[in-house]
Amino acid sequence: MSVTDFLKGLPSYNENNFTKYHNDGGIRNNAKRPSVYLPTVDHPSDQVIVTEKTNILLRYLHQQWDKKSHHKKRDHLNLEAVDEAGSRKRPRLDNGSSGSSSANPAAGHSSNDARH
Amino acid sequence: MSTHQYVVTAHKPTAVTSCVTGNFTSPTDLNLILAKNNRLEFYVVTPEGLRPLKEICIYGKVCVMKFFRPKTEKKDLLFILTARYNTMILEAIGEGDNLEIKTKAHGNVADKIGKPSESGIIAIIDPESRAIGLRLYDGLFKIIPLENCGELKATSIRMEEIQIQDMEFLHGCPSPTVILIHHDHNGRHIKTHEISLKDKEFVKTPWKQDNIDAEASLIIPVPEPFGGAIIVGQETILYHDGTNYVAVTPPVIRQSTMSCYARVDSNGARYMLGDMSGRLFLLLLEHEEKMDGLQVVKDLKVEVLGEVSIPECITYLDNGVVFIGSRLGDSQLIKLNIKPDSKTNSYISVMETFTNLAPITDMVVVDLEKQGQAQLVTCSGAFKEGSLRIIRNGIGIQEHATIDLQGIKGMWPLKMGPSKEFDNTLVLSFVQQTRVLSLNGDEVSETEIVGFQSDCQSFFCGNVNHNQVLQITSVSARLVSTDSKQLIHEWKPPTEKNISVVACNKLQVLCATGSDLYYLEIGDKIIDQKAHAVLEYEVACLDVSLLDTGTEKASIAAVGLWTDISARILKLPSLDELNKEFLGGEIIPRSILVTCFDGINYLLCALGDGSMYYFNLNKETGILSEKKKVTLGTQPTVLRTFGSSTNSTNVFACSDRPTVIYSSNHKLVFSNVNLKEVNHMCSLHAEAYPDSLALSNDNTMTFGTIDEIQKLHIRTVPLGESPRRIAYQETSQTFGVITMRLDVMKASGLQPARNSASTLSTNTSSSAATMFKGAVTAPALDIGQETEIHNLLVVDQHTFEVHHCHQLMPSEYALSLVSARLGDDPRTYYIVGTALVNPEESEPKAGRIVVFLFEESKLTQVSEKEIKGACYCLIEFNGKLLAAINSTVRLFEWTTERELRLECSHFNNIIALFLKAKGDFILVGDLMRSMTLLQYKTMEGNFEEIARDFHPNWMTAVEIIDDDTFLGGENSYNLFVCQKDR
Repeated sequence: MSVTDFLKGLPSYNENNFTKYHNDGGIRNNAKRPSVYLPTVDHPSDQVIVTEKTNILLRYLHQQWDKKSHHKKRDHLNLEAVDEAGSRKRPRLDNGSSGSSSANPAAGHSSNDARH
Repeated sequence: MSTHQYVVTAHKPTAVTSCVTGNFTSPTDLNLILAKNNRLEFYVVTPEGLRPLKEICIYGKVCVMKFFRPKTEKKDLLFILTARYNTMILEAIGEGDNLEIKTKAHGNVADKIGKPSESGIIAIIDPESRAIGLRLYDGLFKIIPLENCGELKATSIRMEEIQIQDMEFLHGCPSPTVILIHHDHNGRHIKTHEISLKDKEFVKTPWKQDNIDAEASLIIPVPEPFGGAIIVGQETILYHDGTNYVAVTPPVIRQSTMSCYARVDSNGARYMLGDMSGRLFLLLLEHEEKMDGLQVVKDLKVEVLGEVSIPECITYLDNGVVFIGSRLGDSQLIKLNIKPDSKTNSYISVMETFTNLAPITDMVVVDLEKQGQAQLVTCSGAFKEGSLRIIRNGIGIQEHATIDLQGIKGMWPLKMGPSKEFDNTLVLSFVQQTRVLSLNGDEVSETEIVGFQSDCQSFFCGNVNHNQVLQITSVSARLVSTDSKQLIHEWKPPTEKNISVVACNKLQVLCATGSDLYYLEIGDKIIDQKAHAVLEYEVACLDVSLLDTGTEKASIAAVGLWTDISARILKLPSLDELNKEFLGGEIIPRSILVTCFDGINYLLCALGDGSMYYFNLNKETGILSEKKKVTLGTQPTVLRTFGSSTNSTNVFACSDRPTVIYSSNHKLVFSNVNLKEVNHMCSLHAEAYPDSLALSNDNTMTFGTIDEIQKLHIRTVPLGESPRRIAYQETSQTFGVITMRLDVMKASGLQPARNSASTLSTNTSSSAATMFKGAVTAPALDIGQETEIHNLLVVDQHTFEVHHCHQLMPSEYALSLVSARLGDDPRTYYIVGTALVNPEESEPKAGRIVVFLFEESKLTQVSEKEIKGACYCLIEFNGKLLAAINSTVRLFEWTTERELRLECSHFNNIIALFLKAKGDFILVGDLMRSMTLLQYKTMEGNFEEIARDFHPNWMTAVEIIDDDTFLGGENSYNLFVCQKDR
């Protein structure tokens, strides 16, 4: 197959497009410029794009914890009560889910840790 | 007192950094959208071509621009990411003039920490519009799930792969899946990640392929039915769908690197690829149907289609028309042809080019014609798109209609019949033929005026007094009634000689047959011969224009003569000579005109070589004063007056560089017109074309209107290689241009990769490496490797022809150029500063300052000075040469032995890149330590640092505004002003 065959049947969206293209005997320079758009009406945007501020490591740990605690609840519903009565350290669940910005001071360190 | 500076943009950005095609303004409109730095241009594709819709300015540099269409939408939405990580999703609402752009969503996605990726920002959109993926920082992938309501929360996902070359979403995956090329110490690999939008995690790696092409850089996701992706490398093109793969190594792709692509078919069977050398390829996926009905890719075919501007982005529009967006050269609208061009073997024809000035590496402001109209000459573009651009203020012609007509020799508007206000007829003169066009509304049809002689060329046609029109041919002057169109009276020269030159107003006629001059007056139904004179030589041009609008009769006439090349003022009606002025030279005057601008009378006389003399004219005495000369073009020039709507007089000079002459503040202004060539023109005030001009060149006639204000006009002088520095030398009427071209190592030695300004120059010379002890030996090159060759070109200021090309040593980079007069030496030199580049060294340790003299079309080296570093900048400083060499600023004297001798130095810089001087002050721009102001102490012969900006600005340009105010440009695209602390 030749290039000619490859170039056959190029897609057409509207077969009239470019049919009346006026080419005045060679290459022309385009002098036309679109008019400048000046917004006069204020369209409030429907949605806002926000970037999550939670540190990746913290998010990962919370996710893991959520999974774990979920498993525990299901598998060892009885044992958990005993465990909680013990002196083991445990995470503070109350502010964990909101991903507050208070986690930020540790940000640099913990993101490095996550890579190791 | 604090002063403020303000910046005005003279020309909007022209480099196209991104282009997309889709249905944006309506579900059926096919739109092309171009991103040019901080501007977006919206076009719609029509049968006539691209129609501009709107231009939008955004506050930011567009980095990524992509269309996407959520399942619920009937048209495409535009996603934009700027260099400062602002994202937006735009939608068009309304149509035509009511088009509004609505920001559907917006927000900043920057992180407080993270290392911006060296391979740049990547933003990708899932083909099913489920998510947007961003790679902004190394090791992090940010995902924005596209939900219909609520806030769009961008979440970072940790990504093991650090160095990512390219990334895309795959088609036809149940959950969004990315494919990426990443680089590690073993080479480059491809890997896929499936994303869980719920958990914001990479959940699995459906497939991967290690150790692909070592330079693989481009991923093309393939839509269904095939799926998978194409990986484009330096040598191989690979198709992989996770289970099967096809790889090809077409030799033709090896010469350069593919940089961009466009999908042609929606089923993903064909793609266009563009490489860094400006070649356009077609990539075809050959497929077969398996027994189970599955479509599988069987083979890849790569074919060269031809050459285009070096592309930055490509997009397929419609019916074989493609837009090539370029950052290094002019963008283009091209058509793909099924049959190759018989000469070039290219399948591409260029339909339209879009002027691009970028990247401008250097520029000079010059006033070539000494008319107070400065123009800018820039070093624009790079590689094969390198060019000089001459930018000047000019007047634009808005074309309203064009008619293909060849060989027009003259044009005149007429008011025939009852028409009093509008011209309704246009007479066109050809060799041995006169044709009459009637203008009815915007319809133009051929007609006849019975009284006209149509089988010979007309020298003049026009309405004259008493409802008559006059036609003058080589045989006679014919008076015709505007009502009956019948011949009323005919005047023939008393001798058998043919009429050669004529001039007319509504009442008076001058006819010349050789050196015989006849003065005629037009009466009711009669042409009266009033006077006859025999001049010394044959008449070359004539004029009998009215100087005062109040009068009907001119009291003087102007004549240009052959042989003695003189302009003469004759008294009317006697034809007595009032004054004669020898123009000098051997070029015949071709057009002469008396006219009044701003109450001052002028005589303009254009010569056969495109130059024009002009004088102040005393209409009583005929005395000419204040003779001035201006170059308008290079071809014989024809002068015609036309009125503009403001009623002031304008003169149109028809030539290869058409010019409009008018007066501003009692000074003549010569303003370029944005047309290539105009042979003849006349003003036209027809009903459909009011206040217009009719203009003709060799092939066409155009009706158009003329802009009231001047705009920037750009002329391009292609070089075909990268221009780096430019300097103007008035004494030799030349520009010095430093250029760089790429040579390729062949079996026979180094050869230019392509023909360009430096290889096509007839006069050449070179600096031989052995002549200079500091020379670095050029590293041995393998066959096929490229190397940079630096040249000094001397270019004619009028024709832009290269007079001479001097090639520098191998590995020698020319970095600076100045045209300067040094010391008491009366000659003006071109001085080049260079660096000898050794790839092993972190910064150049040697270089040269070479002094050249261009005299009598020859360039000779006068002197050279060895320096210990790269000479980044050279300027003339009070008859001495000031150089920025690595971290130092050094002043050199020019001795009587014509050698450079070091006088003093200043050391307090990282790398001194830019110098500007004013009086004894020197402004130094540093690589990273902003600007420093030095003062040269004449008595002590040294520099004193008198002011410094302590901000860590990485400078790109410096300028002195006045003694206390300094302008700097830095590498984050900011301009800033520093004031001297007093």
